[in-house]
Amino acid sequence: MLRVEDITHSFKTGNEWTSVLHKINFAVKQGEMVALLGSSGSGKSTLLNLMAGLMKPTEGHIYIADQDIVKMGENKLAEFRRKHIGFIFQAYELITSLTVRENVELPLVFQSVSPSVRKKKALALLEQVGIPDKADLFPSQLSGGQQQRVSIARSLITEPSVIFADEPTGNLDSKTEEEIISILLNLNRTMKTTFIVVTHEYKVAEQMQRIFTLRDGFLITEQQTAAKAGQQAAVETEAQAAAETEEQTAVEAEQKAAVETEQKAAVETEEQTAAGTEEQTPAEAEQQTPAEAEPAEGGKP
Amino acid sequence: MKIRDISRMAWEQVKRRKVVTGLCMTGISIGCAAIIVALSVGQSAQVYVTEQVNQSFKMDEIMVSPGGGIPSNGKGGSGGGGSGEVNENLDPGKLTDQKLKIIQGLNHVKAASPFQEAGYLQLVTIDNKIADVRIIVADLQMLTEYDHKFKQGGANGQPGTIVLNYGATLGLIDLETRQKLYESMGNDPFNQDIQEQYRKLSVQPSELYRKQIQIQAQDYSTTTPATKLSSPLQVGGILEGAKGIDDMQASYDKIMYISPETAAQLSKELVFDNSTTSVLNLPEEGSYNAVTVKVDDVANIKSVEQMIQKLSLNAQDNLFQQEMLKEQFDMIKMAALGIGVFILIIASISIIVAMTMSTHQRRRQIGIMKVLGANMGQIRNMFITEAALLGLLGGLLGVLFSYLIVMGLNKLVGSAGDGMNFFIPPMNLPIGISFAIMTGVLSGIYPAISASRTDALTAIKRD
Ligand SMILES: Nc1ncnc2c1ncn2[C@@H]1O[C@H](COP(=O)(O)OP(=O)(O)OP(=O)(O)O)[C@@H](O)[C@H]1O
Ligand SMILES: [Mg+2]
Repeated sequence: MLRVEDITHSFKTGNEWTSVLHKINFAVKQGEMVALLGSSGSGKSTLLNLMAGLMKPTEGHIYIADQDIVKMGENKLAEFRRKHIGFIFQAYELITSLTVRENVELPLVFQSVSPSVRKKKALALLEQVGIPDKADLFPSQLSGGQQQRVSIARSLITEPSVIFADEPTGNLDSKTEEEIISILLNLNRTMKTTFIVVTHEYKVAEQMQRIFTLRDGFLITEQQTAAKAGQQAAVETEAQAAAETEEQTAVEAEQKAAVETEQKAAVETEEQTAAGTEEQTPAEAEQQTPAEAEPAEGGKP
Repeated sequence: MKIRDISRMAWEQVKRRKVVTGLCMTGISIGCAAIIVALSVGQSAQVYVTEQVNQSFKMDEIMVSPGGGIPSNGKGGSGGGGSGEVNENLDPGKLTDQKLKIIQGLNHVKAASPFQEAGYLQLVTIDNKIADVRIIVADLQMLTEYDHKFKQGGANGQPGTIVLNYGATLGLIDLETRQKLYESMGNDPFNQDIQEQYRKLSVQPSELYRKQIQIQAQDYSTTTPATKLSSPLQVGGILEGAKGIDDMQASYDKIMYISPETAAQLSKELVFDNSTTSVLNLPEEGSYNAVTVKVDDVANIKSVEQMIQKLSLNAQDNLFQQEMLKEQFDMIKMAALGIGVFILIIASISIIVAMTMSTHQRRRQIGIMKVLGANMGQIRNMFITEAALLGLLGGLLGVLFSYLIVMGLNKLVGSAGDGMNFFIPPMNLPIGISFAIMTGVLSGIYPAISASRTDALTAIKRD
C-alpha cells in the first residue's frame, strides 16, 4: 500500500546541507495503523511530509497505491493527494471562516462534488467522530479536542487510502488525547483506513499495530506491539488476502522475506544505534517485545 | 471546483477582510466614479451646449436670403448693393412673393415666412422708461410655428399691436436714471457698486403686457438731435424666455416683432423732414430680404436647401454648428475617459498592494487548502474571483460616488446661477462597472498567481 524506498533528505540552510533522513526503508500494508515514534528533531515530520507529497526527497522513492509520488508534478500531486491522502495536523488547521460542516466538506469542494452529496457525507462523519451537534458552529467555538475531531472527519471525507497524522494529540491534554486516539483506532478498525501517526510519546505509539522509531534521521527499530499482536495477525492475514488478489503479491512477499532475513543483523547493530554513532548504517529490525525497544526510545540526545 | 463554491468562498473572504476590502473598494470606486463622472460631465456639457446652440441656431430651419448678396434698401435706396435701382426688377436673385409661395409649397416644408431685420429703435413706455430694441418684421401669427411660446397674450392680428420677446421686458429704465447711471459709470468706471447697480437694473422686469408703448427714432444727421415718436402701439403678447438662458443673457437681446402693416405705418410716421431715409430698413413691396423656412425633419434640410438654391436664392442652415460641436465633444469625451482610466491604473496599484498583503496573510490557509487537494488553478481562480468581486463592489460604490459628485456639481453650478445641469446617462453605469471589474481582475492576477505558487509546507510551518 505504502512503500518507502531509500529515502534520504537534506535541508539547505545557508550554504550548508544538513542531512535529516538517511536511507529510510519500510512498507505499510493496507488497513495497518503504524506509529512513527521519535524524539524532537529526529525527522518524523519531515518523513511524514515526504510521504504526503508535500515536499520532494533528496533521494529515494515513495510508492502509494503503486504510484511513485516523488515523480509527480505539482498539479498531478494535488490530484493524487485529493484521491488518496488524508492529513491531520497537530494544530488542527481548520479554516476559521468556514463552519464545521463546511470545513469537513472542503476537500470535496476541490473535487467539484455537489453540495447535497457533500453535506450528507460530512454530517455522517461528524456523527462518527462524535460531534454531530456542532455542524453549524465555527471552529473558534469548539474546544481543541473537538476541533481535532473536525479535522479527523475532514481527512476522512475523501475516503483516502492513507491518512497521515502529525502529532494529532500534541496540543491536547492526556484525557482528550486518549479520546482522539481511540477515535483513530476505532476508525482504523471499522473503516480499514491506513493510518500513519507521528508521535513522540510511547504510550500513544504502543496502541498502534507497529512502531517505527526514528533517531537522528535513521530508522532504528521497527517493532510490532505486543498488545496488538493478536489483532495485527488478523489484520495481516486479511491484508495478505487482499494483496493476493492484487498484482503486488509477489513484491510484498519478497519484501517480507527480505525484512525477515535482515532481522538478525539489525539486532546486532542495535547497541551501536543506541550509542548514537554517526557512521552507522540504517537498520531495520523487527522486535517482538516492547521492553526491548525502550533503550532506543529512552536514548534521547 | 464549482463556480458557486468559488464565488461563495470569495464572498466570505471579502466579507471578513474588511480592511483589504475597504482599501480595494476605495481605490476602485474612485477610479470608477472618475470614469462615470468624466464621461457624464462631457456628455452633460455636450447636451447643454447643443441645447444652447439649438436655442440660437435652430437645426431644422433654413435662412433664405436673396441670391447674389443682400440687396439694397427697397424704399430709400441708400446704395450698397451691387445692383442699382434700375436693374432691380430684372434681378434674378430677388426674393419675391412668388418665390416665397413656391418655397411654401415644397415637400417637407412646414412653414416659410419672412423674418426681416428692420434695424434698432427705442421703445418708450407710458411711464417714460426706455430700451433699445431690435425690430423684426414678421407675420406675428406665424411666431408659434417657429417654436416661440407666448408667456402672456398672443398674436391677435389687430393692427397696431406688437409682440415683445422676454428680454425686451427686462431692464427698462427711465431716461433720468439711465443718464445718471451712464454718467457715474463714465466718471468711475471701476466702481463695483455702480456696476452692481447697473447689473440689477439690467434685469429688472417691467409689466408691459397690454400696456401702450411708443417707438422713438432719433435723427443723428443734425447737430441738435431731433426725436420723433410714433403713435401708440399696444403690447399684444410677450414671448417666453428661452430655456437655459438666464435673465442677464436674455436682456442683451431685446426684440420687438411687428407686422408688415405696422412696419409700413411706422415707416411713414418716423420720417425726418430733412432726410429721405426711413428709420426702418424695409424691402420694397412684394419682396423680402429674409425668409425663415422650417423643415419637418433635420434629415430633409439638405434636399430642401437644394430646391431653394435652384430659385437663385441663398440658403443657409445651421447643421455645421452641430458637426463642429460633435467633433469637439468627442475629443473631450476621449480625454475624460483617459483621465478615468489613469485614475483606475493608480487605484489598481493599491489593489495589487492590498491583495498581495492579503495573500501573504493567508499563506497558511492556502497551504492547508493545498494539503487538502486544491491545485494551483483552483487557488488562482479563488483569488481572481475575489479580485473581480472587489472590483464589482468598488464599481457599485463608484456609481454611488458618481451620483454624489454629480449632485455636488449641480449644487455648485446651480448656486453660480448658470442653467447647466449635469446628469449621468444610464449607459455610463455599465461602462464604469465593467472598467472596475476589469481593474479588479487585472490587478488580481499577480497576487493570485503568487498565491497559487505558495508552497504548502512552508505556508503551514511558519506562523
Ligand atoms: N525547512 C527546513 N529547513 C532546514 N532544516 C529543517 C527544515 N525542516 C526541518 N528541519 C530540520 O530537520 C530536522 C528534523 O525536523 P522534523 O521537523 O522532521 O523533526 P520532528 O521529528 O518532527 O520534530 P518534532 O517532534 O519537534 O516535531 C530538524 O533538525 C530540523 O531542524
Ligand atoms: Mg514534527
